Amino acid sequence: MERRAHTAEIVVAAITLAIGALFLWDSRRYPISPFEPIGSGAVPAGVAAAAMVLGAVMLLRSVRGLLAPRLAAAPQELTLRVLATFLLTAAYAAVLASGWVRYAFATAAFVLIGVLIVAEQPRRLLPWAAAIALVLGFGLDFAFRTIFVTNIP
Amino acid sequence: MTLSAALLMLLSPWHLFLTATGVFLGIIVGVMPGINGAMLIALTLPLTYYMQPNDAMNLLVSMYTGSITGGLITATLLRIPGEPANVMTTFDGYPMAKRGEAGRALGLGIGAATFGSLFAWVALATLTRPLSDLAVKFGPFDYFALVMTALVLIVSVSKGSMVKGLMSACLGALVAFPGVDQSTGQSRFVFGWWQMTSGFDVLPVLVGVFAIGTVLHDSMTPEEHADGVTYSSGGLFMRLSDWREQMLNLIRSSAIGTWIGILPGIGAGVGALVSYTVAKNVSRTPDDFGKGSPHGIVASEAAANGTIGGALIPLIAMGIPGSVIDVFLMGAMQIHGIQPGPLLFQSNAGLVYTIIGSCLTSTIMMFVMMMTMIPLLRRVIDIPRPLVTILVLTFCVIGVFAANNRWFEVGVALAFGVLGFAMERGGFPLGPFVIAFILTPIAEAKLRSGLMITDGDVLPLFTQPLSGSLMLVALALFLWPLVRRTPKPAALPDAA
Repeated sequence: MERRAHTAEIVVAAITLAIGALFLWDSRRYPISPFEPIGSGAVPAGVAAAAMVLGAVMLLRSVRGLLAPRLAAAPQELTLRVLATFLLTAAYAAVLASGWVRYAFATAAFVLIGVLIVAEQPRRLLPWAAAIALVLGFGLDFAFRTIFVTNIP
Repeated sequence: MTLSAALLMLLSPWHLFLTATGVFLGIIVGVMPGINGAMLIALTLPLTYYMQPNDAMNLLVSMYTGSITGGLITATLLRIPGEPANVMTTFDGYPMAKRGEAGRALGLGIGAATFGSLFAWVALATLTRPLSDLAVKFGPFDYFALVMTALVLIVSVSKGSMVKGLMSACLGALVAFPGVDQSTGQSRFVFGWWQMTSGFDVLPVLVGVFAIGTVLHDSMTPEEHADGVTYSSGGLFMRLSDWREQMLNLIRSSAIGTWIGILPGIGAGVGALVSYTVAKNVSRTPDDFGKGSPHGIVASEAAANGTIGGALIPLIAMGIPGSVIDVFLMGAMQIHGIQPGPLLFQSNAGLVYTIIGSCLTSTIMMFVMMMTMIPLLRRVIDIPRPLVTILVLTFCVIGVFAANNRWFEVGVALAFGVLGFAMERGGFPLGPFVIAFILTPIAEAKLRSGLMITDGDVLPLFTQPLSGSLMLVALALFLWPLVRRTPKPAALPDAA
């Protein structure tokens, strides 16, 4: 198993522990009603407790795995590429939500920049990316407004 | 509406167009590794908001059928399975194609896929109603036990360790809790966010985990480039002698696929694996398997496609998804305010018969398209993955927003995308997450109804015949992987 897979296990285990603790803590606020034997918090509390136990087991196992020698590391470049792709997607959503840029232009820019980030040889894909940017940006804008008659950002 | 009326409706030009579109898109994503049927259906869900429920289910079921079959082409010609369901096909399809029998290998695969689908359709059309009538008689504890069995089953057959499967299911269950408690009407686990008052919507969670998470993860995996083989259409139609020779294998594999489809939560990948293993074990020439045996292709494809109709049976009859893709179909029904389950035949018979009819029309459409479009479909794999990644991400953002016009839901989808990516990267199965997310509200409601009836006594859950048996099955499924992995004493160093 490569080093970053163990890191991902630790991240998921930490998320599980955090969410489990949050739900377990919040479940105390829901009292048992007179007509219902276990109340709104009992089942979530049970699941949260189970999630925390499993998260703790996974955390211990992954940390032990991470400390073990002979682990291959995934290329840093790939990780950075995924991070950049995700941040670009979040920025695209934020720009659309702000209303500063029209949907068609924002989408066209997102597609072009996205291909530059994701592709290993972006120059080869640029003509395709430009065509897709036009179709997704201006074509979808037209389709949504006139055919589906629905709101787009 | 009756089944014949639904079939007549599905033969109208509009529905034939929907069927053709669905099957075509399904085949395309089936061909492309890294993008699958579940993802396609997740991305299509926002569009179905603006469709009639019958039209939406027609389109989605057609996508389902196409996506399971499409991967056969690249599995045979390039040794790249488009879907997990086609992995077993590569073992024999590619060697056959390599020795110049590509047309025959594809013909056997398409014929077996069509036969498997039709076999499962007969089961779907005949078994769903009786099973639904039976499920109406289930008590709350019976239902709870059934859901628990489904969850344990999906965890036990998922990839990776049992702990990871259970963690995935627990996370999915926790995500289902925020919102209004169905039993008391009380708002819970919203942590001061008014946007969460009605809980997490199905769409952003499914799109986030399955589409954004998976597409980000796949962009880290190097693209596969395989040696292609020359394709000629010779032998594409199965000969009469092939039908005669394969008939027993076809029936057995289709039955296995249909049965595995009916089992809650597990789908085409497991169906193909089990069927292939059985076919190899009963074969007079087991050594030929993996070297281009027609029996291997037939076993794998008939079973994979048999799971489609099989998996729809528990979805319609009991509201329990038979596979991960069925979770998305269930989500589509919920989007339209329809709750699948035993009462669906009474409340919305038209929709049920549309789903059953769509399964048949899409199978026929799939056969026609696969037989006529192989050279074109083969080229789909040449579409560069970066373009697909960006295309999917754009549709994720636009689709999730367009569904409810809420940016909060786009944020939810992105957050779940990060979770889905981390889970994929860490080898956590996503199936238990989505199935637990969909089934937890039902399980909790049934458990609490049962406890209200018994005045808080949990013992009847284990002593009533049906619920007790199902809990026993769930326990056995839970313990089986632990027992199986325990080394024999002789193998232990101390014992030696």
